[in-house]
Amino acid sequence: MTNSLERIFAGIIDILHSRVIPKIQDESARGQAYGALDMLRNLKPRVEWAVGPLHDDVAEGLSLVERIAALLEDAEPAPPPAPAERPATSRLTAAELEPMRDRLDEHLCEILRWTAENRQTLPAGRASEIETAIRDQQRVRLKREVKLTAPPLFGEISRGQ
Amino acid sequence: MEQASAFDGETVAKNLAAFLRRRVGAEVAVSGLRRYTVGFSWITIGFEASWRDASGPRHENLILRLGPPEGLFAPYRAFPQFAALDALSGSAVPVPRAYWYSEELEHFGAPFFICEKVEGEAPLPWVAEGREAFPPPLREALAEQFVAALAALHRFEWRGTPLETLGPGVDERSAAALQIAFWEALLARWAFRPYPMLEWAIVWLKAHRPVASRVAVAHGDYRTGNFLESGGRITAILDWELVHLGDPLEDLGWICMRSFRGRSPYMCHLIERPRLYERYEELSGVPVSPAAVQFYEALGTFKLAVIHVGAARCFEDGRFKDLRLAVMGVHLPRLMLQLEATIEGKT
Repeated sequence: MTNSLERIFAGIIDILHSRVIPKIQDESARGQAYGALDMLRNLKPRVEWAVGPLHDDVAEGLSLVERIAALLEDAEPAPPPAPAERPATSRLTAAELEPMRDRLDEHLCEILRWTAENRQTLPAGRASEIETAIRDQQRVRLKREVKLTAPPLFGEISRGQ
Repeated sequence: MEQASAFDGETVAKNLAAFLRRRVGAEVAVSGLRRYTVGFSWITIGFEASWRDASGPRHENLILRLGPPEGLFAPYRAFPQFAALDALSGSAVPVPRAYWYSEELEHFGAPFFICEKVEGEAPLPWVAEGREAFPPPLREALAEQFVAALAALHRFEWRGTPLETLGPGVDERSAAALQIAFWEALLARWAFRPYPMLEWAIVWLKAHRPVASRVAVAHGDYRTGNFLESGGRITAILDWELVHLGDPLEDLGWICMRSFRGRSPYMCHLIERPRLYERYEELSGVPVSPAAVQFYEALGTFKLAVIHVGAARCFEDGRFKDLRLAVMGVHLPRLMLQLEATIEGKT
């Protein structure tokens, strides 16, 4: 997910309250909408992003960063230093895992930029090996994310029906 | 000026009447305000205006487009869209007639322009998987007009018109690089977390920039969903928000994106790729390099991914209370996978 859970809840609650419910003419339907609003307000403090996929993201990220560090061990100029992340444990919360994932991703972005600039200084095929490893890891993550994502309703959203 | 809100029809109507009164020099009755659900950026409002001038009673169906200060691409400028519609009026590119525009906030609290409301419906590119957006005879008729209008746009002589200002410094060699830089800068401005797949795409795009065969007016969002159709005829090409000077093949790449056709073999649900290339080349005189189109298809998918990041950012910041923006963010992973597949030529 791209947005924070907090903002998504706040946004849905706000829009239901300020833009949807006032336009519902049918009393019974309006009652149901208020019910949904009430439920959302109660769910908000009780949920967090699923920890499982985030844990996998971080564990795979740490393993990839380690592999890239080995591939660039003697590289000149020195590549960007890897973030000092501790191995993810199953006890970490989503709020703790998200910034770890982002720091690892930021490092991978730096490595991609560094590799593009220093391709000629690396042994033959090394730059492609690094890029492919990063893409492979990202693809696995993205596919995991897409599996959790319902097909888009862009048509209905655009038409409003 | 009263503070206009996109959701406050009464205020918009009042401000419209005041603006039009100054422009036409008569009392203007504004009615039938309707906000359209299309578009994630500019706000589109249809309305009717009635007044009396020297020739007698006048009644016009018009469109007001507002670039909201809190919108996705804010701060907005109305000039590019107005200039495109104005310059292309009377050309072979069907466009609504543009009447007025202003960058000033005094009228509606946002830059805006007012144009003719053209008859027709905007067919959408999002249909259930396995279904076609158009029955074959209609598809063929629309495809021909769709390609012909694009070819006419790319043949349009923009030099010596106000459109000259839409691409300072752009030439055949810099066209692709300028677009990469533009969207890369927006990604840097909007992203609230790093995206290695997008970073890799930037590296690839920079390494594979084509040289344009000419500089043309690029629509920037030329696709099904951004034209009006009535009785089998394309009555208007809409949504010129991203118009700029660039490589004409940029629009061709955009048309070919999977996002606008799903699994359909028809680009934008209208025309098969080989036929599109062939017909476009015939009508525009622009040579089609499949590698360049693939590059622009990849750049287009990157651009769409950046727009999704921007939409999510806009929602996260609470600038624009529109759940559709959050929904766009949800589908970013799918788009990044499409981007990788496009770069690998798996389209």
